[in-house]
Parts: sequence; structure tokens; C-alpha cells
Amino acid sequence: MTSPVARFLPLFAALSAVTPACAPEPEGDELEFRTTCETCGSNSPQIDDAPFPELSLSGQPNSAGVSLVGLRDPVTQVLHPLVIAGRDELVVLDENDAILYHGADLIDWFLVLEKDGDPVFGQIVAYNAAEPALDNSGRPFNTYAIAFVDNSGIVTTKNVCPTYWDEPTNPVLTIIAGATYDRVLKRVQFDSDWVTFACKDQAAFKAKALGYEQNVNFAQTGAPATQDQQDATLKMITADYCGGGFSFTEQNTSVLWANTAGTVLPKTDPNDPNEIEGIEAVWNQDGAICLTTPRKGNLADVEAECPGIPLCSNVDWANMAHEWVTWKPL
Amino acid sequence: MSGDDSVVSATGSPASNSDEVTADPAPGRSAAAGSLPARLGRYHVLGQLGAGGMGVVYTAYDPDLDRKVALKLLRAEGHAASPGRLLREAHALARLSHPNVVQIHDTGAIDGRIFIAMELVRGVDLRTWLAQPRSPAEVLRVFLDAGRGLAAAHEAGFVHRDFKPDNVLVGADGRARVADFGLVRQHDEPEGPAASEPDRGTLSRSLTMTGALLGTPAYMSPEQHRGGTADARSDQFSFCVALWEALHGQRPFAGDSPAAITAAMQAGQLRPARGAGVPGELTRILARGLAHDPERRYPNMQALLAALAVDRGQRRRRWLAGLGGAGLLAGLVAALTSGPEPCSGGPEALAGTWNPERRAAVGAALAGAGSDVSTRVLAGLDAYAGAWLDGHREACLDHRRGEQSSALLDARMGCLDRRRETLAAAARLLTGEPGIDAAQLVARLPPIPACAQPAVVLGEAQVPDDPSLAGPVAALGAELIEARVRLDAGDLDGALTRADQAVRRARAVGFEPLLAEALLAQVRVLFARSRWDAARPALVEALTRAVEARRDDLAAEAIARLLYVDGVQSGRTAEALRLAPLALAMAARAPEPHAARGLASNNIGVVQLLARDREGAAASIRRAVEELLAAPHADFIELTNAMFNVVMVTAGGEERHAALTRANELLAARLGPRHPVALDQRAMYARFEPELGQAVATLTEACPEFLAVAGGASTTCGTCFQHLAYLQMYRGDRAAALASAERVPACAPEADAAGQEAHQQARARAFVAVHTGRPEAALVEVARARTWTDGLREAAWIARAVAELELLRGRALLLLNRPDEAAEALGRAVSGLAGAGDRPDLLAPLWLAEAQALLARALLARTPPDPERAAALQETAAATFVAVGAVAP
Repeated sequence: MTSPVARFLPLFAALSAVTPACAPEPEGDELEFRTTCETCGSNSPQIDDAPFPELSLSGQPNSAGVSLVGLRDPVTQVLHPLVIAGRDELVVLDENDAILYHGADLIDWFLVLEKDGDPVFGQIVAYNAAEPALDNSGRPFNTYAIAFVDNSGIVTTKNVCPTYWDEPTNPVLTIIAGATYDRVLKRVQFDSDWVTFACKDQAAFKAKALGYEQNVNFAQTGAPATQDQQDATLKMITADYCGGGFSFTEQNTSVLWANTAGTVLPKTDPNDPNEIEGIEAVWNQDGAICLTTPRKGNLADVEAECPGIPLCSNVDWANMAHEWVTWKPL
Repeated sequence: MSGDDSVVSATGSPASNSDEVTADPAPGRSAAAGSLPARLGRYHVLGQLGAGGMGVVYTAYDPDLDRKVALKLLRAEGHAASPGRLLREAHALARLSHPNVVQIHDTGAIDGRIFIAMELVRGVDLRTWLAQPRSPAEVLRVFLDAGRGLAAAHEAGFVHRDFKPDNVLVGADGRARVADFGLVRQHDEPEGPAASEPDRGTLSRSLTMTGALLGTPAYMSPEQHRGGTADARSDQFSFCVALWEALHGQRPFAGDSPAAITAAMQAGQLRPARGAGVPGELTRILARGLAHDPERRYPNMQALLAALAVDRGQRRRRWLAGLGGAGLLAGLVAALTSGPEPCSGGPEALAGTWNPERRAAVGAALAGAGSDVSTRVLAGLDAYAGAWLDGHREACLDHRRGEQSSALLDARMGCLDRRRETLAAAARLLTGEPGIDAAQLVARLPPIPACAQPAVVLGEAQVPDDPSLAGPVAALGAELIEARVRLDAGDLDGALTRADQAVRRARAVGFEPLLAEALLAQVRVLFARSRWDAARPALVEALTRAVEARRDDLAAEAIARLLYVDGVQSGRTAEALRLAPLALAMAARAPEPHAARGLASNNIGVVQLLARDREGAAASIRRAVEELLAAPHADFIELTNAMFNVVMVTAGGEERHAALTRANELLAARLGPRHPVALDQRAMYARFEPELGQAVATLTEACPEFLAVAGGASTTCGTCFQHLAYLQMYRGDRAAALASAERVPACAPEADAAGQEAHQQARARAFVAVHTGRPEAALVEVARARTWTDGLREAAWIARAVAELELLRGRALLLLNRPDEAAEALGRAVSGLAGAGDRPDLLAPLWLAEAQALLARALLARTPPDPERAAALQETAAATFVAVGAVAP
């Protein structure tokens, strides 16, 4: 996963490159719920050993040395630049920059990457224009299924999203232009040259579904969510109480969430003792400003990692600046 | 723990094989919908909310407007009405916009099925909400919300006809919204006989299969039970039934069957009030709203709400001052206003402007104006004050909810402040100066809901950088408000004085946005005065300043008016039409583009009509009406102007009659049927009726009204009688025609219209003289009448008036046996009336036919005669008379 770092990498890409790909290993049983990096696997999209959690539109290699070449027409074999229109749609333009192909037109087209001087291919096999939002807006977004041929095993056609490897036509990949996500520090970084490819079980995908991304206005502010808002969302999604990147949770753990802008409301009554175990935490861009019921494990685990996060019952969190409140369902 | 709390993902991959672990949303309680269509038109279907006899309701996402909506898809079958009819009803509803009414965003057809996309309200219906224990204060607050929604609907011309708790939604934000205006009908929609319009209100039946007509008679008013026409007072009755039930736990009229309930209603047998903590005064207010006879209820919803609010305020003050035993209602309402309810500062802020004392003073000042005017004006001011309170509360709540920036809050509150100052100025004028046009003043108060539109208020919110200018700018703002209310009140002198003063102040201050606004205020008065020469330079400067100041709203209005002055009043049609694309482009930039495009399109259409581009004119004017109807706060005078213009470009007689009726009714509804503007338009456009008999009937009814109202101080009074005289003459009723023409001088003089008035009177005398065998006298009067038309030679529209005089002159000359001169005059008349058949007008083609018939006689009488041309003219004229069912005079 390591690779040479290009000289002109933007700051965020450089950070990704020089930071270890995984957080430090937890030690012993006391941190058994830190599942962040037990095996250093990845749920970022990848084709064989070419991960592409982000790609540079100008062709710079990402932290794994993978660079974007373009989209190849399966019939003519002509290579076209990858262009993103609107919020998140892949398109191919003609010579006058008018849209020639978009949406499902691009099924069967190849995503061509390059790693270590060799071409790497994925193929768009499904397009979904209506991936449901997780916020109140109901604003759906686009997702794709990109598959690749893996000749090393029995199953040869795999989804580029590792968690969904055996569902090659499941459109679980979305595109977020203008931002990358530091998956270790759980922070977003903005750069118009870079595009994130996020799988459905990744924080970036979920943050986008919650309305926190660069390509859509947040609430009625007329602007996207700020970096602090997006960072807070990543911290919340990944249970990064301490703010340093450790996740005190496991994959697919449910949580009840609500944001201060009211664009995401709890789906059940957070005060209903038949539904809710209790408030989990209140979040800002640095992690939890208070914590009562950890998603997994107990308070001592968190205390051991970062002492001093108060119980939510001991602070007037409602009057403290925060982005999210989460509750732990029964 | 929920089902997906698993270390193994659904796909079977170990979760630990990940570089990040992420939470999933806890599942809600809503059951998964069955098979759903992925898309309906442009809407992404997200889930199903419900289904019933009327069709299906989905939650859906609207990608164009980036919001979630409730999408009602009506069943394809089962509607008595045509899809077009249903759509028109739905479009009408979509124009209604109020915080306490569920907003309809869009309507149309998807695969032949009507859909209605509306605001998705998170919350419960009022019946469900009431199922929980609620204090009377809470109940009253929610019902007041719903009442404001009903009042707004009534104000816009709609009747709900099925108000009940099931049709009110209480949002998670606590705000109540009236929903399912299924059985609504616009007040101003012409109401035909039931047999001929079996589909009346069909949209409603489609929408509310459980509606009152079909199953909940308990909320229906007595008149609805009888199958009579429901009006706003019927909604008031239903509202009071629902509120009574909410407060007392049972409906006000006992009975197991509709017959028993109606018997109790008729007898006025209310059940005993038994709600704990409900003051008797509140019950008495409701009892009036529940009166069997609609006349005995409150005159409108605003009055009912005001009864509650005024009482509330008075009691609260008494309670606060400790001047007496605070009644239960006082306590109840004090809880409403001084308790935890946020954003309740509006009443205090408005108290100095509109209060019982001020209201009584206005009522007293209008005592001599007739009960219709007095009632209309007071109800209008009450409604305006109510809308202001709603607007104030909404602006505040939006801010509290974090939905708007502080800058936007300031801009909205600034807008509301200006509206309140306008209300204050109007009230001062109403109490201080007699003889003003109170009805128009109130009907044209600047709309409050516009203050909730960010683009509008942010555009208006520009302030000078130099803080020392704040004082002069505020004074200037006050001057502009005064100019506006005086213009709408018909005090043109006062308005012009204020506007001139505002322009001088604005120049001194050097603040361009306000200079543009002041210049435009001046222009509006000059337009009302028909002072086109003075208006033009002011318009050019206003346009320049508005563009410089980035006031797109003012720039759009300035260029649209400039186009009108150049094209219509200066006769430079080609030059004016070159401005048309620019005018439309500027209108598109306005913060509220519909109204701006409406004004521009209308003016372009009128110029096109004068340029004889009939097809272009029809398209432009129809678009103007569509745009103005789509505009959330279009001025109804502008709207009716465009509607009348549509009449002039509509060939189909039936359609034309319907359009005329609709426009006349809209004006009568907003201003009162005897208001001079409503009368003027009724009189001016009667000549576009398809039937000669109908036109005569309309004018026979309308013209004497001018004399009854303010002595006929309107130039339209003279025109009305003159047109009536012509039409009666063409119907063969010579005696009536002469009598009508002789009433022209009875019309009282109108300020600033002496020239036109002299023209009218001379023309009437000429008409009488020429039809009573006094041709010399007729020639003298025609020459007098020409003074006014000669002064307007440049205006394109004057040609017909000149031709009309030439016709009278030609007839007189023929009687004097001067056929050569007669032929010349009549030739000019024919040429001036050329193309008269292009317009669906009764008079111009008949004038043309008369001129042709007389010209034929002149051609035969002169030496040498021209029998061939005479025969051709005679034939054409006869064909016109036959087609219209007229006789040659």
C-alpha cells in the first residue's frame, strides 16, 4: 500500500501518504473494541492491489501510487477524460464540452487506472440514480457498481468495494468530487483536483448520505457543510470519541442520530426507554464533547485512551456548540 | 440491540477487514413499503404514506427543487371532471401560500394521472394531536394557527368546505397547517347552474374521499347540509365545531343522524359547555360562529380570530395591570403569550400601529362611506395586521430553528417594519383625510408574505456604508411609504408631492438604490396622471440608477414601463419592441420574476397589438396572465389589466365572455362591485362582449352606477354612456340611444381630465345633433371634440377616436348634402378603423360598417358617382351588421 509520493501532491494527499495507513494496533484485551485496524484491511474501493479511495483528475498518483487514466469506450476503445457533472455523475463530453454520455449510458465502460506504470481496469456494470439519503431532504444521489476481473481466485468478477466483493453488480460506490477523507484521522480535506470514491460502508459515503459533503448545500445555508461540520460527522459515524482516529465501535453497529440543524432527525423517540438505552455522545469536530453510553465497550476503554471526556449528564451540552447528538438503541 | 448489531456484515465479510468502521442509522418504526415505483415523472419515490379511494400518497424527492414532498397521485378513473379541470383547480390551489396552509408545490399529470406535489409535514393530524391530554391554551394556540390558514385561504378567494381536525396537520415544529383543500373553490370563479357543472369541486372529492360530503356531516354548516353554496362563513362554522369539540370533548350539536344534528343546528341547541377550564367568554365567541344563519356569524375568519385575539390582549393587559379579576380566558391567554411560546413579541410590536382604538377611529372615519366599504376596509386591515403577526412570528421562528442567517432575519424584519409603517400610514390617512379611496388603499397594501422571500428582502435591504446617512435614508423611506399609500388612496397630488420630495432627498443623500426607488415612485404617480412626457425621463434615470444599484426588481419595472410609454403613448412601436427581449431578460433577473415577467409581457403585448402583430400580442398577453397568476403576490389590478387585455385578443365568444366575467368578478371581489375601478373596467370592456344584447345589458346596469358613486367623477362615465348610446342605436333602439348620449354631460368632472371631458361632451352633443337632424350643430361639436384628439396625435391608440369623430362628421356632411367632403371624412374614418375586424370588439367593426355604408351613399351622391365601389362597400357593411345582429342607424 505504500508508494512513492509525488512531489506536487496537495497537502492532504501528502498527509495521507506519510501517515501510516492504519492506526496503531490496540494492545491486549482492554481495547478489544478498537476494530479500526486489526488486520489493516480496507473497505476502500480497490482493483486487485490498486486501491483508489481517491483519484486526482490531473493524473497525480494517490497515496497508494494509483493514478487516473480515464474512461474507455467499450466499443470504440477510445479513452475519454473522467468528468463529473452535477453532484456526482460520471459523464463523457464531446469536443464542444456537451454531455455525450451519462448515467446508465456508461454501463460497460471501463475505468482505467494506472499503478506502477501498468494499466488497471474496472468496468462500470450498474448505475443507480436514486441512492436514498439518510437526512430529511430525501435528496437521493448516484451510485455505481464497478467490477473487476480477479484471476487469482475462484470468483473472478468482484465488486471494487471490498465488503461487497461477491456482489459485483451492487451499486455501492459513490463519487465525491473536490474532497478526500483521511480515514485514519477521520477528517475531510478539500481540493478540487481530487475525487473520492467511497463504498457504502465507509464514513465518507454515510456522511454524504447525511448531507455533509462538498457538492451539496447544507440545510438552508446556501453553502456546503463546513469542514468542522464534516469532520464532526466523520467522528460521529466512526465513534471517534477522542478525536485522534480510534473507533470505539464495530462495523454495522446501529446508532440513533440527530444534528443541530434539524436536517437529520431521530427516527424514534430518543426519550423512549423501550427503544433507547441512553444518550451516547454529543459531537463536534474534535470528537465527543461528552460521552455517556459508548457504542461498544465501556467508558473505561475510552477513559484509557483519552481521559477527561465528561458524562453528558454533567454538562449543559445543549448550550455548547455541537453538530451531532447520538443515542444508543436498545 | 437491533438486528444489525453484528460483527459480521450482511455480506459475510468480517467487519474487521476494514480500515474504518462506521455506524448505521437505527431503523425507524415505519414499516417498509411494498413495491414502489422508483420514479414518478421527475420525482424519486421514497416511500408510501397512505392510500385511499382518491389514489396513493407517496413521500418523494423533487430533484429540481431539492426537497422532499408528499406526492398525491390521483386515481385515473372515478373523476367526473376532465383532467384539464382538475389541473386548473390544483393550479389555483398552488397559488395559495401561507405558513398555516399546507403548500402545494406543483401539479401536473404523469402518464395521464393527475399528481399534486405538496409540502411534506412532519407531524400528526389534529385529531391525533388532540387524542393526547392538552390544556385549553394549547388547543387554542393550535386552532388559532389553523384559523389563520383558513383566513388566508379566504383572502385569496378559496373556501375549504371540509374543515375538520383530520384536515389539519400539526407539525413537529408545533405549527398547524390546514391541509386537503380538496373541496375548495375560488370565490371569483363563476358559478354556473349545478346541472351544467356537475364536476364542481371534483378535485376535492378526489382528494378527500372521507370528506364532509361523504361521511362527516358533524362539521358541516347548515347551508352545506341543505345542499346550498358554501362560503367562507361555512368554514367558520366548521372551524367552531372543531374548536368546540376540542375544548369541550364533544361536538356542539347533539344527534345520531344528520337530520337530528341539523335540527339541533336550526334550533340553535348547543350542548352544555363542559370543558374544564374553558372560559364562558370563549364558548360565547364560538356560539356566534355556530349561528345557524351565516349572517349572524362573524363577518369573516379574521373577525373571529380578532375576537379571540382582541379579547386576549385586553384581558391580558388587565391582568398584567392588576385592574380586575383576571378571568379564566385571561389566564389562558396569558399562558399563551407570556409562557414558553417563542417568538410571541409580534403583538407588542404591532400594538402601537393597529389596536382597538385605531380600529374604532378608522371605523368612525368611514362611517359615511357606506357599510360595504367600511366592513371591507376594516376586515382588510384586520387581515393585514394578522398576516403581519404571522410573518413576524415566522421570521423569528425560522431564525430560532437555525434556518436563516442573522442577515436574513434582519432583512425580513426590516421588510416587516416597512409593512408596519405602511399600515400605520394607511391608518393615518384613513382617519385624517376624507374622500380617499379606502378600498383600493387597503386592497393594495404591500403583501406581507413577500417579506419571507429571501431574494426579495435581501435586495431591498441595502443600506448606505456611511452611518451618518442612516437618518436621511430613514426619512426618505418614510416619504416613499407616504407616496405609495397616497397613490393607492387616489390622492395623486399628495403622492406626487411626496415622490418629488423623495427624489430630491435621494439626490441629496446620493444613495442610488433609494434614488431608483424614489424615481419609480414618481413615475407611478405620473402614470396615474397620464403625464407620459414627464414620466419618460424619470423612467430612463430610474432604469439607469436601478441597474447601477443592482436593484433588479426596480430595473425590470422601469424598463417595462418605458416600453409602454414609447410604444403606446409615443407611438414608437418598432422602437419599443426592440426593447422587448431586454425587458424580459431584466424581468427574469428580478427576485420575484413571475410578476416582473407578467408586467413586461403585458406591456409588450399591448405594443404588439398596436403594431398589428395580433398573434404575437395574444401570446405575450396570455403569458402575462400566466405569469401573474403564478406570481405569489401579484398586484390584482395588474392581473385584471392583463386579463382584460386577453379579452381583446380572444376570438372565441364564449371564452371571451367567461374571461370578462372572471376579471370583473375578481375586481369586484377585491374592491367591491361599485368601486370606481371595478366600474371603469366593467364599462370599458363591455364592448368586447360577444353579444350585442349582453353588452347593452352590462352597460345599462353599469353606467348609472357611475352617477350613483361620487357623481360619476370618472371619464369612463362619459365613455360608458356614449358606448351604450352607440350600441343601443345599432340595436335599433334610437330613443334609448339618444337618452343615453344625453346623460354624458351628467357625469361629474374628473380632476386632470378636463380636455378629455370636453371631448366626450362635445362628441355626445354631436351624436345627438346628427341623429336629430341638426347637422350644422354636429359639425361644430365635432370640431370641439377634435381639440383633445389633436393634442394626442402621436399616441397610436388615438386613431380610432379620431375615426369615430370623422364618422360623425361624415354623417353630418352627408345630411348637408356635401357628398365630396362627406366621402373624404368617411374615407378617413374607414381608414382609421381599418383592421377593426381584427379585434373581438363590437363597436369598432360596427363603426366601420356604418362608415362604409355612409361612404357608399356619399359615393353615389357625388359627381361622378362610383356605384361599383359603393355596392362593394354596402355589401361589406351589410355583412357586418348581419353578423353582429345589428341594424344600420
